[in-house]
Amino acid sequence: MHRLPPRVERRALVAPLLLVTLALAQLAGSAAFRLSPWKGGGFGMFSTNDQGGLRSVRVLELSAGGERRVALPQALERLQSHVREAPQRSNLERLAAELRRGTEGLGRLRVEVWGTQFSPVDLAPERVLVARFESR
Amino acid sequence: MDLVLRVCLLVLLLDAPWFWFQRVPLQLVSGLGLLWPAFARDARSWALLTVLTSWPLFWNWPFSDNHDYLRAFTALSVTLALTCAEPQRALRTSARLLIGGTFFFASLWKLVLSPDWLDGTFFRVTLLSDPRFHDLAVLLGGASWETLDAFDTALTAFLSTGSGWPGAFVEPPGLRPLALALTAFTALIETGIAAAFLWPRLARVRNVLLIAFGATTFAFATVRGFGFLLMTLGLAQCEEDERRARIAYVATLFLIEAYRSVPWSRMLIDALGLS
Repeated sequence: MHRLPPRVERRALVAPLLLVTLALAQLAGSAAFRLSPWKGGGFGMFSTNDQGGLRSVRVLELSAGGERRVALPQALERLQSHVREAPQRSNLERLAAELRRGTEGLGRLRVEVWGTQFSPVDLAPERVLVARFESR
Repeated sequence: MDLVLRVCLLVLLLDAPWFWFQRVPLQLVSGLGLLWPAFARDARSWALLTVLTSWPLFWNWPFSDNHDYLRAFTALSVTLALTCAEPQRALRTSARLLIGGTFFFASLWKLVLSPDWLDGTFFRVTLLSDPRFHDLAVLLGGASWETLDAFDTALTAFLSTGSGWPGAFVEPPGLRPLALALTAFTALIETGIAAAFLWPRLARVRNVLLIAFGATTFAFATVRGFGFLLMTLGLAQCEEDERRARIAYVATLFLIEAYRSVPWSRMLIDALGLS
């Protein structure tokens, strides 16, 4: 069988190797900080209902009297979507910091990202905690 | 090679990124390549196209779709192939491995890593909640528009207000068999494509499987950009003597566009009186 010159072969492998590297990095991100399987170049689209559109972000202010939900302003919508797709600690921290910047006097905050799991029996959805971060 | 370059440029022109400042430069350079063949054959033009398809991946992180990454890999493959002594051969190798890798990871997610795909739950939910699949749910799953609306309303309330789930929701009886059929079909064809493109012994069925995937999947899942790129890569990896396959790839590319632009499934629903 005729073999390609080595130089040609190596160059032809660069893009496929990048694809594999990125897909493995996406797998790692998904395992480490619950990066959405639909995002990040790992080809997990249409493989699961665990995706940004079915995740929600909740911010709670914690005090001695209990906890109260903090409304997220429209201006933070992109950051909120970012947190849903990639709920790593730094993003949750950033969301809490941005909220504090826009709202004076906020106490201890807890940022939570919730996913949706559907019952295989009757498709009833159930909330499952994806990530959580508390900021003082 | 010229046909592959032209189709690739056409795809970059038609399915560019969302933001205007990412889309317009890419369309300008792609359009220039289509109008000026010497520009299209120059590796430097493709290096520029690689930059124009890659930087949005960083800018938009983590929102880019999988085919946005595949677009950048394709441009990079062409760039590097054009610097080789045998460009067509190098591009054939890259395209084949890109298709194989894409379907390998897609299959890995679906069959191994996902907790809700193999049992059909993913497709049952998607048929009810994703508008792109609603026509299919009505045509073959026995769903009514009222059922789809009820599911959508309940899910939106569940996600946005934190309310509970109405226990009264009844899944149409035809939906589960349809979801299971879609699951089985997708599993077979995607793993088949991964194997055929990565394992030389299955080379004979490569084109049949990939063209069948393009002609069926994108009839409902109108992810035009992904379909375009797969058909372009399919075309790029064809051997010299596979003329019919090359024609079929280009024809399927236009079929994918027709699926998106012609509301054929809605017309069928109307004709069958299911609306």
